[in-house]
Amino acid sequence: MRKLKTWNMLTLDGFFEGPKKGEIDWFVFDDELEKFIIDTQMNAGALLFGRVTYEMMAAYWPTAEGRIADFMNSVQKYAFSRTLDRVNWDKTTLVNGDAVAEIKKLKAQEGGDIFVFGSADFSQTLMENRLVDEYHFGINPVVLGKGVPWFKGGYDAMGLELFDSKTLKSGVVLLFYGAR
Amino acid sequence: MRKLITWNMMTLDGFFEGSKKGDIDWHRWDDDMEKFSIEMMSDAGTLLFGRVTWEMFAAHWPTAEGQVADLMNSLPKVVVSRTLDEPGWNNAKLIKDDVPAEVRKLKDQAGGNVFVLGSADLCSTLIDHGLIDEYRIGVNPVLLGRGVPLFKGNSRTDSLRLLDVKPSKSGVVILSYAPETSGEEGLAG
Repeated sequence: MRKLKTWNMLTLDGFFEGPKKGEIDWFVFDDELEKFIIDTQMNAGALLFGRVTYEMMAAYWPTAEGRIADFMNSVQKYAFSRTLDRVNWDKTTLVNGDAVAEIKKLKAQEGGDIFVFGSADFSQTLMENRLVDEYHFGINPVVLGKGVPWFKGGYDAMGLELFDSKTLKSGVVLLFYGAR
Repeated sequence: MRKLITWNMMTLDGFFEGSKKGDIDWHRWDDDMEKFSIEMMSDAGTLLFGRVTWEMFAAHWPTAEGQVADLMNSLPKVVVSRTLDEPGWNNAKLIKDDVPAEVRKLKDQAGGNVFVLGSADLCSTLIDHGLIDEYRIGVNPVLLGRGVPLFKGNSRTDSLRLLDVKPSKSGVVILSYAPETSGEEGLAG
């Protein structure tokens, strides 16, 4: 069974965006982080997105350049939304039916890891249905004060297993957790 | 001038207390964490508290046993509260007002560092007055879903300098940061 992994850059106070929606000026993105992403994520077989993150990514990556851009544009992607009519990004399938059922089917197929970036609301559904196998975070050295939290709360308590951590020269701390 | 260091255990989803008052059942504790606590308390000259955390600690530690308990009970303690009449715990004094000035006086004293444990409301005040030299957070491998958030939110963005990262076998990762405005040398270049 394929593993579903989430990857997010977070502030110390838990925001993945902010202070205003879509703002990610505080991301500390350097060569070391880029190398880490290339080493660990580019074997992914599929990317899943909620609508909000999908729209931001689809507006940015098609005209970007570099190894990560090549990967983002060519990997198989799924956008989960009941309100989008169609998707224009290359290699993207729109899923507007039962997200949980679709994801279970995807996980049962052969293929590389399934990654979810951003997509806080969509990830909430994944967490509530126990579909996340690994949580990967880059904790940035900043307290933003306000912004969009990645964890929406309300789910039942869950214990996780820390299986790795890595400190980058930029002060970003990578933390890797597995679901129990 | 001695440093003021805040120490908190926090869940990965940002809570320092569960939804039931005083709920800290989720704390992951092991030999590494015990060793770390002892090191921290041995470095302390004074413990500083807000009222809510104080009341929880003053109800628990006086009858607890072990090295950490001995340190907690014997260290000089200060509680900030307008409503308490007297501290009610060994070796303690009360600050009723003029909190920033009183805390500055505390930092000016000689001795081991000042540690603030829990005390989220007091920490907000200390942050607003630039009195915190180091934030230490033990990130627990737990998603709680509900509870009291450690970070109360404010209108200001604070850049931090990462000082140290200490993972423990229990899965707790202790992150230490200094505010960017302090003179602290960080791990980052």
